Amino acid sequence: MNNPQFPTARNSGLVVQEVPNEILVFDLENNKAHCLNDTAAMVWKSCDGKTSVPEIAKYLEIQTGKGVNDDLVWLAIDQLSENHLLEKTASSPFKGQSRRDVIKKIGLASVIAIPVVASLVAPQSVLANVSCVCTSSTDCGAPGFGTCASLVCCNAAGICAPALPAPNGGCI
Amino acid sequence: MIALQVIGFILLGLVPFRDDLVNSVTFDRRLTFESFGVRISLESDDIGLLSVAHEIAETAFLGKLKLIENTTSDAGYRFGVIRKGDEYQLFQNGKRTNNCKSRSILFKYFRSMLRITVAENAVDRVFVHAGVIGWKGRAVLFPGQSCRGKTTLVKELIKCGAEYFSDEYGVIDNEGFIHPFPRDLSVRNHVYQHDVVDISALDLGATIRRDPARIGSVILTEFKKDAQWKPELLTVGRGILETIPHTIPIKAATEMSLKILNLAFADAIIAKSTRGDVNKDAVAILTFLDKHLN
Repeated sequence: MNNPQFPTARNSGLVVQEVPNEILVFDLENNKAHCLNDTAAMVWKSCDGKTSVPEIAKYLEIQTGKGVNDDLVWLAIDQLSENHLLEKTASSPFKGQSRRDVIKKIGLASVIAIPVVASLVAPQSVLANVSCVCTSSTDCGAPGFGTCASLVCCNAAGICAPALPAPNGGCI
Repeated sequence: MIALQVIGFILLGLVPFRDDLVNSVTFDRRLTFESFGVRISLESDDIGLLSVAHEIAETAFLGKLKLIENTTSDAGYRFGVIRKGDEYQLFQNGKRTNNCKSRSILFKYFRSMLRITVAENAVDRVFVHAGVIGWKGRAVLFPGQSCRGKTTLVKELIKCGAEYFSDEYGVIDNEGFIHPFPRDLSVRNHVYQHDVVDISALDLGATIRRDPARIGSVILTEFKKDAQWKPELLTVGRGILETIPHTIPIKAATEMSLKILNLAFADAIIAKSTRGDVNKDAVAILTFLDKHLN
């Protein structure tokens, strides 16, 4: 399982906030937010471009006092890479296997928490997430208004929603 | 009387100005105020419309705005309202953004834009789009999108004795305390749910919270037909992650937003679940809070 790659954590275009046992990362370039659990966070912090995967596994063993194999580190790197949190995309040794299968395999052997990187895309438009208020139907078609009840109709109450029932009328 | 005072102030407080910005429309009259550290100018060539815009700003920020005497000073944001023919037009920073034949709809939109502008740019405050109640001396935050049942839930919770903070914003300061923003509740019309009416929390028998409080719990929930409240506890990191889409300055002030959310959520019980019937699940949520908030 030895792999010559020395992963490097990306540090530009990111806002990082440490919370107890986790790290939050906001990717300003991709407009995504990530939450790294303790294991994923330890791996990410160890990705300095000089430390190999087996060395990271060893470091985790020292930190946790528990046995850690390379596959566990690779599982973290795989997720970090997929979420653009590494400088270069790492080639995963798990090609052809589903993540579920990998987790199952590692999970049975691991005594520390499986690394998890939870992610979500931040909304493009503040307005859309907060309000579906409109003045014309054009407003409702603007980017980010996908959460409103209608993307094509600004009703007589000034909300992006299906037309008001008669007699008040439909879209303006 | 209030209207006369407002107009009186405007007459005294306004100075004609011209703006040399290219491609930017200018107006004869301007009124500048500051709210939550954000300075905004209201502009028009019609003193009546400017007076209405000022009144709307006062109500939009629940009176938490300070008029700036020196109206020639720069404001970061400008909103202009004019009437042209049979339609009303809204300008943002000198550029026309909206037009509408209905004055009330244009002003409703204007109020929404005003609030969002302040919420996105507030100094040392993070506005989270959320319902907020008080329970056992702590604040409980319900972050969520519009039309997902926040107000319905808050209304039911205050009927059950919870204090009212807000049905729209959780305003968190740089020490992690959440401040009340007790605007009238925007309750959806029974007949047609895409229309809203504003109801005073006092009319619902609520106790309105006046002081800031620590967050005791963050509840990530939205209405789903036939769903039941079955909470899953989340870590602080996951709770913040799921609150990010509802954090208004997250893009404008990412670092500050994450730092303040971290402070605010540090001791909170964070739970996530869909919910169904509001009468049943409001009680279930309060039972959950009773169990977890000491």
